[in-house]
Amino acid sequence: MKQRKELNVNGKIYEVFVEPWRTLLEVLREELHLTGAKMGCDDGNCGACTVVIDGKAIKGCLMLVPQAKGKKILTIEGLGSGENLHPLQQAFIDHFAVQCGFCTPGMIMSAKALLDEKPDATEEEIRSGLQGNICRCTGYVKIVEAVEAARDKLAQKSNPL
Amino acid sequence: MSSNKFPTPTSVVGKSVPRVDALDKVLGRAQFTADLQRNFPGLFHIKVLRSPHAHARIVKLDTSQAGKLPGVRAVVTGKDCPEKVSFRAPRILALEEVIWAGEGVAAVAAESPEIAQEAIELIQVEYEKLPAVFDAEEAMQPNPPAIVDRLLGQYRGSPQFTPEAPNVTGHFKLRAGDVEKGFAEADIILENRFSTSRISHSQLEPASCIVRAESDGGIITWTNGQGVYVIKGLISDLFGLAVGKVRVINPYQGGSFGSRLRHYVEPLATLLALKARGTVQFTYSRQEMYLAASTRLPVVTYIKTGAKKDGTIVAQQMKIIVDNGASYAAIQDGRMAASGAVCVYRIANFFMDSYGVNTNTPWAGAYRGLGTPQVAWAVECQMDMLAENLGMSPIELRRKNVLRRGEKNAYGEIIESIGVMDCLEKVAQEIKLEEPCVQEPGPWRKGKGVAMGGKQNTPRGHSEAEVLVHEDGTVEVLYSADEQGMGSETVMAQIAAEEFRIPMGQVRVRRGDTAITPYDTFSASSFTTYNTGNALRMACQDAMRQILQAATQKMEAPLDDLALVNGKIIVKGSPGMALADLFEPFSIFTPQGGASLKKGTPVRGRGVFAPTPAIPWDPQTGLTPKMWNWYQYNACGVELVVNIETGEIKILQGVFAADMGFPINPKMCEGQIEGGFGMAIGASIMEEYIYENGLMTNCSYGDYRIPTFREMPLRRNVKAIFSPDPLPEGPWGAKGIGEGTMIAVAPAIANAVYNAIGIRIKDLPLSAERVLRRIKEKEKNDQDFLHN
Ligand code: FES
Ligand code: FES
Repeated sequence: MKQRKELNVNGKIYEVFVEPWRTLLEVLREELHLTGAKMGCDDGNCGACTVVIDGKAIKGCLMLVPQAKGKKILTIEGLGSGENLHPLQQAFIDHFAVQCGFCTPGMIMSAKALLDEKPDATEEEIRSGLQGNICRCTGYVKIVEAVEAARDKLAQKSNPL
Repeated sequence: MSSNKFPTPTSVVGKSVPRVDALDKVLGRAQFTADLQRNFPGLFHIKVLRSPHAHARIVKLDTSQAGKLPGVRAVVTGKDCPEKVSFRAPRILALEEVIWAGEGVAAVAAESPEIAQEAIELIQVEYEKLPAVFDAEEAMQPNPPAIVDRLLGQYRGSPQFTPEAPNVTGHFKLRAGDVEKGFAEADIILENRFSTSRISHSQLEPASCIVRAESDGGIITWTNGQGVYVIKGLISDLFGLAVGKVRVINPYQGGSFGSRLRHYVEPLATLLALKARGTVQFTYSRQEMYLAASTRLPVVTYIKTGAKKDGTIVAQQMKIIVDNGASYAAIQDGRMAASGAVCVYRIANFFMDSYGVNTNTPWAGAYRGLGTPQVAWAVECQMDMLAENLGMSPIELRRKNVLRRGEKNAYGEIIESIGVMDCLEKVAQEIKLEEPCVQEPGPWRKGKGVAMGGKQNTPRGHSEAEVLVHEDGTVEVLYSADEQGMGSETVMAQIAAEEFRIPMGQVRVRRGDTAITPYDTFSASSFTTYNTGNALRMACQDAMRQILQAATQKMEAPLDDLALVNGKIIVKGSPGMALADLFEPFSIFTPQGGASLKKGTPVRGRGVFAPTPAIPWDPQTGLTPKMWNWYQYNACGVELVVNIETGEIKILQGVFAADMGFPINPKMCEGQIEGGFGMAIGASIMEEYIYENGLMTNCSYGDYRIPTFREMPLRRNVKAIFSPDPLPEGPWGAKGIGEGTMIAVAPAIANAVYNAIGIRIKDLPLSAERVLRRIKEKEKNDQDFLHN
């Protein structure tokens, strides 16, 4: 039966009234109308639904709403705005790391969690860190390029000389 | 085609300007079909009951329990479907027999996906299993073990249908020169058989649509299917709806690669929307994307090549068998696939038969290259084998036989634009093909290989485009081709910006709504830049002419002395005037009609482009001066390692050269190359359908593995090279690129594997399992040889 749940998404507290077996992805999309996270497989194998929860990249289709209780959820909608893009978002544009764009929000969120944890991630680390995110369009080359560019940009910011 | 007068070097076209859709996509704001569901409270959700059997008679089908479940709005079976069938879509639901494991038997629309699923499970169905045929070579025989589609001949009215070969959907013959004589002159004859597996497009966004039944009997469809007008035509035709009451809208599409060219969700959703008299949504699960969406045509190719000692190919005979699966949709004679063998080499004596065949397997259709990569797989492995037999370098052999511009191919077409040999030379140089690989101790063996190929462009359909030029100089571009990720919106914006000499930021693209944007077919055969791009140039020039016409009076100058550049009318030898000043304000005291331009009223330019039609070929010989339109070409070189203990292959380096004509946006062309290369790695070494009694058993991303970051070489080891041979009638000389980028990869990989371990593998994929099996076989043979 439906239950009242609180979710902390992009710094805002939302109250939803949903069945406890709903996935976080469903609730983000259907109840909160945050459709940036996409459903590509619904079984944890594509990464299109990735959001960042307490600093970790998590597949929204694998988490049930009760499991998100008390956690800070960041979705692509909370990452940057049109005027104020996150360096990853800017790098994805600049380096043509976007084609159809269906993998993009999940890819950026995974990369965000990765760079937060390993600000100096090497290409190898980026490749293994993002291997749970599938892209069928780009062959990944420009995605790696974009993540490396964002990494360098972020390093400059935190260490302005 | 003439461009803007007073030509200046291009300012936007040919430049890697950022994609116009990128900002929305990185913000998570770009709308895909399923994202729109939130706009429809009270939406019904569709689920389908699918057959577990590859071929069976439906003895009993009882949906009464499902219909009674609270929350269920409508239940349909094959009996509720329109009798009409269309080439554009597979049958909506099975009628008397199911013909592949995964075919839909019944469908439910309910208030929630869970209720719909529960209802599906309440449907009772009894099957009587029938013999099935899975192998195309078996299926094409007279008296096959099963007839896949009993109605094939009947409803297709196919002239090529014969009761003697009831699973053969078509047969194309090419008879050029005298092949007997050619083989008689040959010093060496080489015969081989090659095959490719069934693979899935696996585009990331599942097929999805929303259909709203309107109160006047019409419908509105939001869909990620390709070709809004094609869908409009299909739906109105299937359901007998007034064409003017069917509206189709196309949000962004999350990849397609040909998958969305046939429409497998819209017809069923329409059926249920009409029955439910409401709005329904139908989104395939990932499993359904494998079982009941399009797949790539598996192809078996027999090839026999005769050559002189100096490498000149004097005769070639081929038999190409294209497995359509249980397709009601893709009636084919294999002609498209077979074109891959005709467009690269000069072969005067060419005898070729291609067949389309139905089997009781998931249906197949267009897939990045429409069969040409599967046939090039055979041709390009054969070329390397021939080179080895002749003791020649693979480059030299290809150089000797490649078609050159102005020459005729085996159809009899004169080739206008062909950059294929340049592509190969560049690739071979870059990968240092002549330098042997340095082997390291351990189980990994290094090898290099190359291959090349071409893809025809089908002269299909016609494209329209419109521009609205506003008084402030901003331009709206209206068109209906697809945006499945390849960047058509950006290319169109670039073309308009170039024609009007305005910055990209002043162009807004509006796309894919049959009530707003003008006719187009769909984005296929890599023709969007060429077809729609040409139409758009005409639309820009049409608007420009109207504006300059209006300016002739104001400026008191003849039309020929005027040009529109970046919002200004320029007259030869004068300072000119602002575009805005041409638009007159009006009130009830001024003439409000008339020819002058009015404030608030954009100038509407219109362009229509249709490719020059093909010239019908002689059905007995396949000969014609024009079968296709133009060809894109490419070559690939790879360096890889093979693990002789596990059979695993790792691609270390990939170099890819493309002749796509003039690149309108070089970075996006690079993106097509890298994306095609990645996809082809999957097709070459990883992907295949695995079945049990015809039922696919690996239908998830977890089990049907597609390339991840791990399978791609390091980014500095992937290189894209442009080697364009511009096409005079393409926009600024552009051709197309999307499909060609897969063709040369698989044979380059197989040639490199041979180079590494001396084993020639003729069946795709080169999975670790298959490679290891072949290594073990070879070891055993070598030992047997030693012991004897
Ligand atoms: S939708 Fe969650 S991993 Fe694919
Ligand atoms: S851009 Fe299409 S799946 Fe990544």
